[in-house]
Amino acid sequence: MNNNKLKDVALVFFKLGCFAFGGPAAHIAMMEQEVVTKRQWMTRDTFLDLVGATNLIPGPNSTEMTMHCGYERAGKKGLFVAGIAFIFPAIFITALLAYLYVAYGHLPK
Amino acid sequence: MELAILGTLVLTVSLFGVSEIIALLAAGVLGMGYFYIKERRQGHLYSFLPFTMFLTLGVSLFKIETLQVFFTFLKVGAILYGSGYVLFAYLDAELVSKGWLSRVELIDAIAVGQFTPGPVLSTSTFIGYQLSGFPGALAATVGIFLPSFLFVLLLNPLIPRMQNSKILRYFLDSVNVAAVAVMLAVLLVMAQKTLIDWKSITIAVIASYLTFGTKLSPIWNIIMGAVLGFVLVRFF
Repeated sequence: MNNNKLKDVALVFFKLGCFAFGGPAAHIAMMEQEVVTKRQWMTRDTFLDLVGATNLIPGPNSTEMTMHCGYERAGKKGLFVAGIAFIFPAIFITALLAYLYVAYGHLPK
Repeated sequence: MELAILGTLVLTVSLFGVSEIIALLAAGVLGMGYFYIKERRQGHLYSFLPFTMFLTLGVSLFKIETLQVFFTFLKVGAILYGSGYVLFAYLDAELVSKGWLSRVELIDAIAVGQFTPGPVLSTSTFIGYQLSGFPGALAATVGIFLPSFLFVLLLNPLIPRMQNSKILRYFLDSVNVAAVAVMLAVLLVMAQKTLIDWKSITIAVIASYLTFGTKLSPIWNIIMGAVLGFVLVRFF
């Protein structure tokens, strides 16, 4: 059962990670849709509390929100799974671009 | 409604360029004090200080090694506040002024972080790779994100406690309003910078309709914006 939850968490945040263009506010809007409206992992009030609290600590707010949601859903493992799933697509694409940038000396147009 | 007034205040000072963390904390304290006095109930006052961590690391600057890349980005990840838009200033101070990276390279790196999906902090992967190849990319990425994992790990268990304590409930409510106001301020500033011609205004109008008038997922909304933006710029 716990494994299914972890899988859910990984899938949701991987999907968000692939489409999360447009800055933290947009990421948080998408996350709210997925986590509160669609899947009802938590109430809207709890979600807002997490947003507020996340703003108080250093670090990227949208990424930290994914970790909070993962934690709420599937415990400590969920925290790491959510965070990694969310940043992985970005990191992968960026690493590829970095390789091309160093190889060719400028950004592809 | 007091919270609405508080939100308006935060919005105003944010637009005047007050740092968001100061606005948030001030709002939290103000709201907590106000509602506490308003309630006039007996209770314990807990002082809450946000968890700020400053790592002072003696990094020798002579040769850039993977470990140094790791510690530099660990430091940035631990003190970076807010949305990632301030990332540029941090990295400029950490990397450009030390001569590790030219400013042009930094601007390119930030651009890459912005047009890839996900957090703009993926910029760190790009810079790490430039500094010392794939080990550097890995070190920078792990370094900049590691503090976030630890902060959330520490913070999350505290939230139910904040929700249950009356006085901290006021603090949290006020901070929530302030957080929304800060996002609104970002929206206004970004609108001013991006709504410059009929193409972007068209996209904004359609996107607003999809957000408020339909139940379409924001993911599709953003994909629509990207496609429409491409089409409009390409053909008009």
